[in-house]
Amino acid sequence: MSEDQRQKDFAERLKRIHGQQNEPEQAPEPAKPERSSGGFDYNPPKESHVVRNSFIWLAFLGLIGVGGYVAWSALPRDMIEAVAGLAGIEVDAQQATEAGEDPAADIFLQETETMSIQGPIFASPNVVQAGSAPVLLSDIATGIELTDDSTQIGQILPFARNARCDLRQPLAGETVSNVRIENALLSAPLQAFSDDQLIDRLVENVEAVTQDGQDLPADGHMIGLKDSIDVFVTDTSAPHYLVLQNMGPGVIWNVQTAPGTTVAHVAIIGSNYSGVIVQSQDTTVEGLLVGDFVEPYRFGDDSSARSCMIRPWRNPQPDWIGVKNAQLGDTVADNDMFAYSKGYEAYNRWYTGALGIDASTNLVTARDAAHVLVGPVPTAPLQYQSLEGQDVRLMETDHMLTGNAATLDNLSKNLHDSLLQAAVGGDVRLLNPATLERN
Amino acid sequence: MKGLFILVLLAALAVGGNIVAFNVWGFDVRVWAQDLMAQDATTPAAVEDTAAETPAAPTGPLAWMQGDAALRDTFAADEITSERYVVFEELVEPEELLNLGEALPNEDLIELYAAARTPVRMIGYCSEVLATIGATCDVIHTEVSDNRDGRLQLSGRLGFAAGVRLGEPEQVENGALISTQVVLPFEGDLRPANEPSSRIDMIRQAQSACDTLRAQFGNCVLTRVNLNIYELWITDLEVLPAGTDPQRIEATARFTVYADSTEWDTQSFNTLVSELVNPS
Repeated sequence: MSEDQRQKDFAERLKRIHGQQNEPEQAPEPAKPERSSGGFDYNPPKESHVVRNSFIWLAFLGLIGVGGYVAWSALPRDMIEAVAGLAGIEVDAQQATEAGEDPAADIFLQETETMSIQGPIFASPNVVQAGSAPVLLSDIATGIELTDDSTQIGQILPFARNARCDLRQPLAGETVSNVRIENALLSAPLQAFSDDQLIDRLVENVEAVTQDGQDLPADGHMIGLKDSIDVFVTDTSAPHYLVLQNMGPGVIWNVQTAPGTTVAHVAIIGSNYSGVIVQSQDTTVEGLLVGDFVEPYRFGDDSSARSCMIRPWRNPQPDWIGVKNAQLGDTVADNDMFAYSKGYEAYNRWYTGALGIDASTNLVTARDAAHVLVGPVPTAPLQYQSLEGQDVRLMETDHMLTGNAATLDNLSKNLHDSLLQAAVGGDVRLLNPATLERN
Repeated sequence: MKGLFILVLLAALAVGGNIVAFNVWGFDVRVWAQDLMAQDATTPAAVEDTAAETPAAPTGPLAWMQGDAALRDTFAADEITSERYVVFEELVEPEELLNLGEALPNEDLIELYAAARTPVRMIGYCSEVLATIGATCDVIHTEVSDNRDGRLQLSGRLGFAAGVRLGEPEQVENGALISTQVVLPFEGDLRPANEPSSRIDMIRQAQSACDTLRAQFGNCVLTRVNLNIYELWITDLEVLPAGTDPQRIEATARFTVYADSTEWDTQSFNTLVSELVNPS
């Protein structure tokens, strides 16, 4: 450090000392409040935070409870079994298992003989009608002899399907009566199928052999079998325009009328070739085949708007097992019911456009039924008429067969086997050639 | 004391509340126990009944592997199983399916005709399986699909009882089935032509690699050989000598060994097989 710098520093120090001595005295700082002795109170009065602490503990223990439950559920089965045994729970579980209870059965409802996931089932002699009172076939008809495999019908009267995706408009004064089911529960001595259906079935049968290593299905030729259902019309107030709809296999609708009733027109909407028996030659008949306008259903297809959506969905009702299970948390049922309701919305859109009324108007509906009543229970029972000897008006297709069970079996087997033989180009056993060995 | 009481009360409320809540609104806490018991739903009496109906334990060289279907189907040398097969393909015009003098059916029937006639066409390839790796041979699965150019693609899986040694898997400790699939190499720029000699060479090449693996692992099964058709484009053919067969073969082989799982996994086995089949 240089001599000049030392002198300079010394001068500055003197100057600072001098300045401090000449400063006016500052006012003393205001006295701070005296702190409690010792700076810390070792014996403060206790403050009560019961409510706050209760919430904290409740949340803490709640989390432990939930976490413990989830962790317990995630444990391997054998570990659960061991711990459950120690806890004495095993006895209860054993009892439940011995009783044949399905654990899921405790949660979700099972189908019964009269109620399915997709709605009510009215097996004969029960009759489905618009009201809720139970009606039996014997309340409506006498001389009951149900249609079966041995019934011989009259003639098949084929009619061309409606190709325009519309329906004849109801005339003034006509009542549109609306029947919508999935399956008919009476048999019908009829088979009707197209060439395409025959080919599809043959491909299926061939692939059972060539892909799955099975034998040809013994009943592989039974294609296009029909079921039948009785429709009793007893309402005499106006001429009826019947809209008969189903989503399952083809149906023969056996319309039987009480004295004084008139059926002016029948419109059939079916997912397969269907037909109708009407007692009056004056009744006009038309038929729409779902497959002519809509592709085969894949889940969700009908949930969005599409033109000419004539697949006749039924609107889910609170008494359906599917609806109840959906409410209980069954996600499969929930999805199914959603698809049903969206499908119904789409169908109703078309139905309302075609007929000018909502699809729920004058509706009689069930999933499965053998007999339907349109109108009140008659005061005098009708004379029951099975399909015996009656002419059937049927949607025209390539193969329409009738006869007793043996005749139908023969006819369809000949058709099936002759085409299969032609397809193989020789012996049907060539579908599964013999194993070869090394020479 | 009062604090302890509150604490116990809260604990009881929290745990009990959860159980009540799960039972009423959500999970059924009883389900786990019932579900658990349903899994082994055999009561002592039922166990006795089942035991009476259960067939006697299998004997013979395959007895040790009866509990493992995949293992058994892989190594059951004398049987045709779904675990061992060679895939052959054909690309054909619909007319090629017909017998001599037979008319072409309606277009709607062609898929049916093809499905029905493919097994007989495929059984012809058994001669190539029997000449290489099979003691017996059968068609176990066929499929038909439309090719974009109007031809039909037929394919068949030919199962075989082994005509080659599979090895001794029973000697392996900590054994596990390990498989890997590799594309087989070929000489030259073009894949081999789709003809019997090429297909036989490919199957032999795959079996040769499997023999080498057997020497190392004590066992090896050629569980698949896929002889897929690979068609040359017209632009490819333009620069090739006239008459070059456009249908070539791309062969893929799947090798399966029963190996010590503490030493081998799929990745290490794949590395080994790739280096063996395609040495760099």
